[in-house]
Amino acid sequence: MGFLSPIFLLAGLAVAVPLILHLFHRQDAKRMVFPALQYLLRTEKEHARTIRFRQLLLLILRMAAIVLLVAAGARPFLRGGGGVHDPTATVLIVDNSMSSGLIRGGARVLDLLKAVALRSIDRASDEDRVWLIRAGEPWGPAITGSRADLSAAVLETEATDARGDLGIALERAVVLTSGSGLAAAEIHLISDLQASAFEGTGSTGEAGSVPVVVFDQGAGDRENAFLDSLLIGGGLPPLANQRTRLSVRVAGDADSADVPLRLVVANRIRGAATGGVNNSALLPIGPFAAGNVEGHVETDPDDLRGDDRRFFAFRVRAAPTLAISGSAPFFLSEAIPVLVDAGRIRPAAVRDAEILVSVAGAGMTEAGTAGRAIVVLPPNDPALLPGLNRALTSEGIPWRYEPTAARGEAGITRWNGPVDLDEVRVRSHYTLIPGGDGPNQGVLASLSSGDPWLVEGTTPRGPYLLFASDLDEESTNLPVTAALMPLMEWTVSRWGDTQGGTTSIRDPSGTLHPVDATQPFTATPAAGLYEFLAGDSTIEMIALNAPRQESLLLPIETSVLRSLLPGPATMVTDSARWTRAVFSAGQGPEIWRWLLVAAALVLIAESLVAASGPTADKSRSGARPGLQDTASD
Amino acid sequence: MHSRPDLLDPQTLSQLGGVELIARQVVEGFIMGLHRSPHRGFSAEFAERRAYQPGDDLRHIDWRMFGRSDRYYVKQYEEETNLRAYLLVDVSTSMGWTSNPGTLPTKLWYAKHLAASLSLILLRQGDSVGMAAFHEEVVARMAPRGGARSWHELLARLSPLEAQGSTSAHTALRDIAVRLRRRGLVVLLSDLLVDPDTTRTALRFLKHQGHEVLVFHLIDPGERELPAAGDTRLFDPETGDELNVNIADVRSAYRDAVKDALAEWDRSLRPHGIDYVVVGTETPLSRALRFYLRKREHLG
Repeated sequence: MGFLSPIFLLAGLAVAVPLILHLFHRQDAKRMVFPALQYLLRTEKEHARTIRFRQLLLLILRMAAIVLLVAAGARPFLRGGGGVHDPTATVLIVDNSMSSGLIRGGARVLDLLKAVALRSIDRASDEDRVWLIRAGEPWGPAITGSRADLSAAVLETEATDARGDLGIALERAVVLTSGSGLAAAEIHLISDLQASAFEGTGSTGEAGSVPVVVFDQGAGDRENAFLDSLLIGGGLPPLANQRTRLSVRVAGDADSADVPLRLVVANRIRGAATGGVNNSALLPIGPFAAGNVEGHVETDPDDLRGDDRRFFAFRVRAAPTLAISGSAPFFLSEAIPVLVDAGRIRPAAVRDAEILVSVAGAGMTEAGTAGRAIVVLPPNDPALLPGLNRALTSEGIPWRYEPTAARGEAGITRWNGPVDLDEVRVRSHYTLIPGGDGPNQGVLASLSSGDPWLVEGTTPRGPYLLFASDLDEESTNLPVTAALMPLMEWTVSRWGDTQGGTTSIRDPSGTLHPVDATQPFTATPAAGLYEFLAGDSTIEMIALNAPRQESLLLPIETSVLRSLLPGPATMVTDSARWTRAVFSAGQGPEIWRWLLVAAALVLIAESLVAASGPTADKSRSGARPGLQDTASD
Repeated sequence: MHSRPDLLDPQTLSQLGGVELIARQVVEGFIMGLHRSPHRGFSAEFAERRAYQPGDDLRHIDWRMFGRSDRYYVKQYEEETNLRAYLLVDVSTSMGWTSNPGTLPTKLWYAKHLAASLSLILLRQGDSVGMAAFHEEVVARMAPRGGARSWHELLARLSPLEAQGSTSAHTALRDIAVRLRRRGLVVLLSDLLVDPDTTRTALRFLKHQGHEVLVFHLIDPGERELPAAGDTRLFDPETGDELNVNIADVRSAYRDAVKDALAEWDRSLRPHGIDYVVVGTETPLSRALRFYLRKREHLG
């Protein structure tokens, strides 16, 4: 409860008046001659307790009347009671991420969240500033406008296949409220409160900065069975006319039954299997002619349908031509023929090769095909580094090799490629130094010392890949590990014939989005296949799938949630109580009228008690007890 | 407005004049209202006959004369002085109080005028009248005697009395009891703000001696009902007691206490043959006179 005119409470000192009168006034009472005092003495004696009680009752009633009147004058209000409130900067975070599409009890979770958001909007006043953040569309700006506009925006909100990062949404909300210019602020977090939606979230604002009203359904959802990941060819798409295998992993409750899997390529079912929960299933796929291949693996739909299908797209191309220039390390020279035999590469002359493996910069300066890719291996002899660096400079590659004083073995870190390099140890290497003041970009893998080990980049002449160490057995144990061949295959296959000049992108719904080179393209609310078009030609396809975090329906613990919020949290579990919980940073309904009514009732009671004597007298006045009627006839 | 003075309220009556004038007018009016001749009694000795007039008691019609003349005559007798009345007037300080000064007469005024009226009636009926005024002691006394001059003598004793001193009714009653040798009528005019037990005992003693006892309990309306006031310091002029009280707090209980006290007087006196009547000082004197008349008729 609060007061709009708290200064009026000073009038509450008047409550001392009846108290003082009660204690002291009777000493100054008017003196009156009254011969029939003996009757009164008898009365006083017999009714002393009643009289004291009555006087105390009168005192209490009079003090209560003053307190009520003073309180009414101070215009009290109840917080959170559904009345008016101070202008409040309010951000509604509506979680429309993929998990909000869950069907629970026959109703979609998002529909419940939208209903709650509409309650907030209904409670907002014209003096409030209200924004709507759709957590499932992190690329979208916060929506603001009139209450009608916001209501329409809420009603138009649909579940996306994107991840809702509530931590980021809360940070955005704090920024919005802080810049609103309004003294009161509030964040309404309307979400299914997945624990995964807060992964990586630290404190989202200055402690106690913005109160947060959280809609907490309190329903602990069981784990959801879903298609967790999908991998084609172990990470390497097949070349033309090659068969490969598709691996799909099913995740979910360990007690769940196996789920059926169907492989769909180009809208035709090309395979089927049964997937055990928390296991991977392999499905053969291919061969394909050169070109784009798209499809998906699906299972039977359950309550959360957004994760029951995983899309894939890859480009099937012919084996690239490769040439080695310079003295290749032994194991590399042995690995290349294996790849040739496997049809993964085709040997070619240096000037014709699409991929040039240059040892110590050899062959780099020779003319090659347009867009030729270069893989650079440093020499064993540091004395050859100046020549290598000159070759790099002439190719426009902004890196140079420098000898390093580091000794000892180092592991590979910062690597997220498809090849397992955990067992690889590097015994000697050079330091790769980026040219000029440019940022240390393009580092694919580093050593545990922090030095770059594998660097990629693109020059106008084509892409390049730089190793910080030679691939002989003295520099690294890579040649004697199982990672050599996959790494080589990955190295030579990572460059396709990607064409530039994308003019538009077609999303899974078929809508074309013109590509503006000045603006990033982030409107990817739906999982599926995105086609990159140059005119009418598809030059690349990308499959986007719902993030696995959205499939993890375990709600966050309340204590953890409170620690992550930017201010004091009010947890509301019942949507019907939401209206009373929001906009607490202001006054609720004013109750001065009720206090006046109460004061009036108290005053009436006081009058009745005070006048109880005269009232009774009127009722008896006709009786005149003791007057003998015998004399009146 | 009433044309008969006996029916006037004391407030109006007090503006008519002194005790003598008022009492005479009251008695004249009162007797006129009774439709009886004030000048002849109906006691033992025959005096003469006169023609029957409406209102005459049928018991006094002379049926022999009716048989002779076919006319109604009533027999008249010489009045007989066969009752000795003694009026005891309380003149204590409390009797001088009125709840509405300037408008409502005091209890002493009422007592004086009631005593004067009663004595006039008694004397006109041939009775003898005596009086005594008392507070803690007897301050004025007149032995019972008859005749018109007695009334003036009584008025001369009664008129100058003023309220003073505390009340000791039982002292005065015992004094009277000692002095009254013949049985008679004792009329007490008091507000009875006295020690109840000793006063009752004294009254019962008088009754025991063979006297008829009539108690007029004079009470001011302000004693029945507390005044409209809040916190008040009430002062008893006789005892000097003071009491701080909120009138509203005790109003109802006080009213009950007065009622109980009056009932207690009635309950304690009537079984002993003592007539007790409460007379409010706001009521016309005729009420008390009527009560007396009834009592007198019972006495024969």
